[in-house]
Amino acid sequence: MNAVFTPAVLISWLLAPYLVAFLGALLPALEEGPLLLCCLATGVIGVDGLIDGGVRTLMLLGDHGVMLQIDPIACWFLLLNALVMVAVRLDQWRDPGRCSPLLPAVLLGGLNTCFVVSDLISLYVALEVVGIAAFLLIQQDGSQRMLWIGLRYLLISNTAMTLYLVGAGLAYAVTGSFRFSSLTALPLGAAEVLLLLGLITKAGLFLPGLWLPRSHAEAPSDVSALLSGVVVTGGAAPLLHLAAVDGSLLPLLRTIGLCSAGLGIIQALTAPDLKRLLAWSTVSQMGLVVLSPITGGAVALAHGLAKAPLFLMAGHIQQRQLLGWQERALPLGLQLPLWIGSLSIAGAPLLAGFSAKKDLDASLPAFWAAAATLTSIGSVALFARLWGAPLQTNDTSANRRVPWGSSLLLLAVVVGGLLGVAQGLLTPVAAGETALLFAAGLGIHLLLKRPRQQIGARLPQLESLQDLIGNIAVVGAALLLAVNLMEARG
Amino acid sequence: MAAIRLLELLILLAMLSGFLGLLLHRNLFLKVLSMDVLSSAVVALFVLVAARTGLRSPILSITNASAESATFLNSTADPIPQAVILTAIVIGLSIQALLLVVISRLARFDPVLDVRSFEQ
Repeated sequence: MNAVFTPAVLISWLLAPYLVAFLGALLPALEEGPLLLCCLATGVIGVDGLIDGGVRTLMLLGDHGVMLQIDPIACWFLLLNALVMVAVRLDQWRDPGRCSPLLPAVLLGGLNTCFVVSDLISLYVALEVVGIAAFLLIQQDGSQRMLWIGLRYLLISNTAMTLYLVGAGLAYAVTGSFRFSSLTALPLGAAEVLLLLGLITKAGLFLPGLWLPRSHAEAPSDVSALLSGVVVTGGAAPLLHLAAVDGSLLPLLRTIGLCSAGLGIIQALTAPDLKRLLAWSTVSQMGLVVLSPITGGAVALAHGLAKAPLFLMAGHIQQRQLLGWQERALPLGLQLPLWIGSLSIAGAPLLAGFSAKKDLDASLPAFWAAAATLTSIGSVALFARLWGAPLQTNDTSANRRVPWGSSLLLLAVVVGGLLGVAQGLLTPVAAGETALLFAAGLGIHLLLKRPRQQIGARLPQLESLQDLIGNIAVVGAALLLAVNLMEARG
Repeated sequence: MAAIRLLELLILLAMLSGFLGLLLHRNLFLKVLSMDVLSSAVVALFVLVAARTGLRSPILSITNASAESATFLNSTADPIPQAVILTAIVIGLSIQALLLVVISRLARFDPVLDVRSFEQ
């Protein structure tokens, strides 16, 4: 344990972003500095925790008070949070229309809290803070479209969190505690289903989480980068914590995760527009994150580091429809994030996505590992739609080079990949396997070229507000049924 | 005990009606009101959970603290769910306010606030 991180230091680290938000509103002259310092502190704590590998426990207000736990699961997410936030703020540095650091600071603080809390109620409060900050970020410009997208997001997420609160109340009635660790004493039933339902919705997973594609696709690109990179993990990280505490949740969670991965890929393969493709790929990657509590953090980190530059890059592209993508030239400053980001998520060697995928496969039972491998074929096929746009050479615009923030994330992606190589993950067998997966993915891409639009038109769209509320009910009922069947079979 | 079961049933009904209202109303304003019904039912649930151990307010008076403490603890409500739900009420209120602000701005585009006119 590092002696520098005394409880006082950790508590001030958790509270600092809120103070920064407050000061930023009072003294706009402070600008980005304090927020970047908060990100730096978050990153340092994340890296230190990962190297150390231990659990740092913090009791507030004595033995019966609130317990915070900085464990390795949380550290992955803390590091991700810090890097993505720094990158988005750096990319927006020279943009005169950028938002003040107030809301990003609240978002940073809220997410940090989400990752380290270990009781149901603190988690509820932190998730609601994150939800409100994200809602305000989405609808900053006040256009009708954004108002509607924001309203839809907040309405769905608050409904889900209300159900979560019911679950927390029922759990307390049985166990007499709100701690995650007390959930082991709780028989699998309505309380846990409601808790899961709330977190699944927040994490953008199968069916109730389908608010995600439209919100992420239509929000301003820098906000999309934050939403897709870290905000969804505000729901995924607690899911991993719960699954680590109570193993009986794992089968349910894995089924939901696999369904999300499949649905996300199918929809992304037929998505008509760049940002929608990226958003659907987030749904599928979040599905992979919740497959295993041990490696979920690494998968989320690899995904967020690659997805944020992709969304930031999408913000600089005028024509985002994917029809005719291969005919439109792109300058190098956009090509580079596009290639590195998409190759990493697709699982190409030497990049962070590959290391995360290998870790994930190693930690899963055979059936689930095979299913996860199948989804990586899908990832290749969907990102293959973005490959092959010609390079624009005579470009004089600002897009000639990669912005600083995106460069930072891409560098982190490459470092993650090299760390994986250093651990010996890149064996000849693994390289051959990856080559086969890429060949299969490209094959699917070519097969789909012609019937893509017809298939896309036939797929059900479950994204209207009415559908989303229905989705919550349907998945909740299905989970209850599954729990009862599992009990009946013993 | 029967009274508690009856109250549980009523709370469940209130939650269901709130959720159904959220699902079935096409008017955005009514949707948000239904959500309020749902969250009020949750507040009632927490108050009921707190009342499992007793009904007296969990406030210890200094004058008779030692004499009564054993019987006192056996007949008072559980303060933790009450404290927790207080936080949730505040959060629920602020979210409700935010939603209503957005709805009042959306009303400029469609005064009827029909959900379908905002979806494309």
